Amino acid sequence: MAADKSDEALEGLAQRGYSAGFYTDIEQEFAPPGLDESTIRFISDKKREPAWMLEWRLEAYRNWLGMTAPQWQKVRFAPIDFQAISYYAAPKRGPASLDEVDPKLLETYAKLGIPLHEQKMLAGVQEQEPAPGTAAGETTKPRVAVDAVFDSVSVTTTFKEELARSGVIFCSISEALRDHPELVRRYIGTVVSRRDNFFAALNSAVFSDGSFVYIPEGVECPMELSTYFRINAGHTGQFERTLIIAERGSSVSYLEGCTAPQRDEHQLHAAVVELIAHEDARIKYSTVQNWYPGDEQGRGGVYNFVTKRGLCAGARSKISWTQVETGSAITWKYPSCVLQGDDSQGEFYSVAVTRGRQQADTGTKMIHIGRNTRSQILSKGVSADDADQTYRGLVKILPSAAGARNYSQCDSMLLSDRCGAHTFPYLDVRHPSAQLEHEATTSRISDEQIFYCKQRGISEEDAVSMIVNGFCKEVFQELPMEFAVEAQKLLEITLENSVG
Amino acid sequence: MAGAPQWVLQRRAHAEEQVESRGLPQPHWEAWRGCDLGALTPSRLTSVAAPALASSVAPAAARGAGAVTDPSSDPLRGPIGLLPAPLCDAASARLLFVDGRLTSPVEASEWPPGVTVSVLSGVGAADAHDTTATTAAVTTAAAPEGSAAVASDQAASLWQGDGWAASHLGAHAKADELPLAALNLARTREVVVIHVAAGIEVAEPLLIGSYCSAAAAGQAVYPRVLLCAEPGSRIGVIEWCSGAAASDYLHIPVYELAIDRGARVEWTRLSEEGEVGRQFATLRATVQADGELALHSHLDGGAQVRADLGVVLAGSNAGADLSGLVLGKDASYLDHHTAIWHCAAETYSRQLFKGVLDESACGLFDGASHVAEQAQRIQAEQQCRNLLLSDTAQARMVPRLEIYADDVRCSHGATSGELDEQAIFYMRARGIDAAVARLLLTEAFAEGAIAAGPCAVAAAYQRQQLRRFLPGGEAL
Repeated sequence: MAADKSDEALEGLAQRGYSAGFYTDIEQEFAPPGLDESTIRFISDKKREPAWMLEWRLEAYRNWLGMTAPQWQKVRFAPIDFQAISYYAAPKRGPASLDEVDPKLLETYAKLGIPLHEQKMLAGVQEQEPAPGTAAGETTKPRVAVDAVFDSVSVTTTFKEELARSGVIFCSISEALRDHPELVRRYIGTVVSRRDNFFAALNSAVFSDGSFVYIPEGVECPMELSTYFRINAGHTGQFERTLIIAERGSSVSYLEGCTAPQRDEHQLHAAVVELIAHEDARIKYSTVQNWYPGDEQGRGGVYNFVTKRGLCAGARSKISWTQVETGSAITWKYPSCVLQGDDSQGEFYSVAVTRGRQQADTGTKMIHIGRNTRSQILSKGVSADDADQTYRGLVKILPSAAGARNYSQCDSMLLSDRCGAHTFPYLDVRHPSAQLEHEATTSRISDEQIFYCKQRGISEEDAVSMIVNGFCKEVFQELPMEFAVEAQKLLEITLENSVG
Repeated sequence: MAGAPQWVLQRRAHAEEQVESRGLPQPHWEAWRGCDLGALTPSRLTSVAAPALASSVAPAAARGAGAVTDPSSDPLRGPIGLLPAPLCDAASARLLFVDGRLTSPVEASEWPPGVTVSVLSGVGAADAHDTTATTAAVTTAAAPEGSAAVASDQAASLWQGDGWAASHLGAHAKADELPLAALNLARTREVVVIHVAAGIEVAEPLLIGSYCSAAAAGQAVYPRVLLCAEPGSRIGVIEWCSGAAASDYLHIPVYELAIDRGARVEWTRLSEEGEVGRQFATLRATVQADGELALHSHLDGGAQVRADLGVVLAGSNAGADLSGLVLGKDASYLDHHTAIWHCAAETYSRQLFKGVLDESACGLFDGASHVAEQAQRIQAEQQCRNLLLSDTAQARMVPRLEIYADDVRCSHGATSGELDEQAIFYMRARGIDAAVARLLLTEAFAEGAIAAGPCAVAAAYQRQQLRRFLPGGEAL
């Protein structure tokens, strides 16, 4: 049985496709490869940024020059030549409105299941039955505002006007720098400083676009917000910056998705995400990450080195990170919560799936500063083929965090005897009244489970999919409903033929 | 150094090279993250020039005064009187290093049958001030009746380049990987080698003590012990480390345990360093098929103590049971670093470490379970629990799992918290004073770790020390 299975598996692997791996041939302009102060001036000039922003970037660049790339993570890759990367690539025709977006771009996003037309919803989502109380025949369409970032620029943002009616600002960060410079200046770099780490410093110097969200006091954002990142051009990196501010008593749910063409070269994606939640505000940040993972031999694929951090600045604020990580040759990120406000709350729900030669070193950091702060970590890792996956997390309870509470659970599932699953939690408690619990388990799908399913007429492939889905269910439940469907499908595609 | 076998000299030279080329531990090395390395400066690492004479050794720290006999008051016991009396009395045989030197020659008659103890003395550090080093290898052996010839063969081949000692010394605590093990091998003055013959079962534990006197202040002490347990043998060892109260010595002991097929070693570490003393201990064990290691570590006192405990489970069905208790007070920094390498199928490991941390003490537990690709059907459990008794105490935990095999059962858990107020209320409702309730609950918490140790004598001693540690505990 083992031989048959492995033949089948090999065949399956050969057919395995990455549906988002196509390339869009579109007229683009690039910055020449290389990085020095003139590159930064070029980017800042292209974006017509205020002078202070250029200075801010240059200072970050000078910081970066004095820093060295970290070595502690459990991933292996050849040193990156930062001078071989082009730090700016943008479609030549910039649209003035949605109607003017290059049809090729619309087609690209349509192929990815992200229609940029406001009347449509995300592909793969079924219309819901009318909610009780709504008129007959009227369907409830979950609407999602999308900011589409293509290489270094945002090509369009949907539902802007409707959002503006509630006072919500949702635009690209370049636009925010033009239209709301005081807000950007007040908050940028306050959660992830320009010296925070090597890749955050690099991002601060060269970031080209990203999303900006501002939810005014007391406003519950009327729809889901989403940014879709697409790397298209070769020999480029994507360095986006996202800044979300939720004022007192407001709430927002935000989702990001990402894909890249199939290429033999590695591409660098070094983003920074900063979230700020004021008193009683809530931010839910969900990620479905599907960057090109490279082929079976480990050729190509995106290096996803991202710094994500949220600050629960006000009392009773809450930040929740949910991530489904299936792509990237190397993922290396730790979405974190700094729980500064009393009674504030941080959550981290993660499903990471690695196969082929993918490597992931991911987890979270929960820093408890305020009194009675609470955090919960739920991490599910699935490893197959020759992949290597690490959960790395930090829970730090500072002396001021009386009554802090943390619960962490990290489960790993191994689907091959060649893959690796590792757990490195760092727990640091400095207050006696803090209660902290951490649990981790590692398991595999047992022959008995498969046998049971097969006896009931379920194919082995479906049985594995079912068991893995069950394993990840608690995390999927945290995703906005529309994306839970997408995430589940993505998981199925990713794990196709991975058992053998 | 003339007189020491050639291979020993070569190995020491290699260790010295490693120290020079790799340097001392750095704070950015993952294994040393967060550790205060201020004491590991070259000037502090010279070995004690003139070890204290036994008669001039002061009694141990006041904290343990009840247990340690003052040698001056017990002239018959000599320096052995430094060892805690309850342990000393229960042990089948005793060895004591003072400032890295054995206090008395090893007498064959003192050792249980089948146990051979050999000492390579005068391997003395190559440093110029080592004027007192002798150069002869002293070997004393004892064997059960009828196996005298075997024992004497072993003794003869002990220091040969192809002998068993050569195959084990530095093979478990590797100089290439562990900077402090390299430092120890390069600078140790006496290496004690304990050999337990095949099938021998020793009922009473051996007691090995290492004491740093006031003469070691500002300097380092490097005791080294190698234990080889032949197939099917069984032995218990209590290892006690301590030092003079006001002496800021640096205690860098290394223990290597080679546990052969079906052998069982029960090793209990009791660390009771002086108030300003520091200890960086390394223990490495290799367990062959069907062998077992029960390892318990008790850390109490010392400004900074780090016990680095590593076990390689090399053969199928090999197992390791690790447990430990940390009692932290003042501003002491007490650190357990454990690592279990599952290298063969069907091996198991269990770890249970607890910490009771008071005042400004900091307890660190960094434990790793590594599972190699071929190590299928293994079980690895790890638990770490901490009780914080004051607002300024700290607990740090890093329970790691590194797994490359798919058919495994691995788990770890870590918790930290204070005493359960409901439990205290429950006891108060039954007429127990709040302070006593707290003591009882703390004692019950620690008891879980003490009871997990393999040695009843050591456990009784630990309970006694726990009551001394807890404010008002002696009243219990």
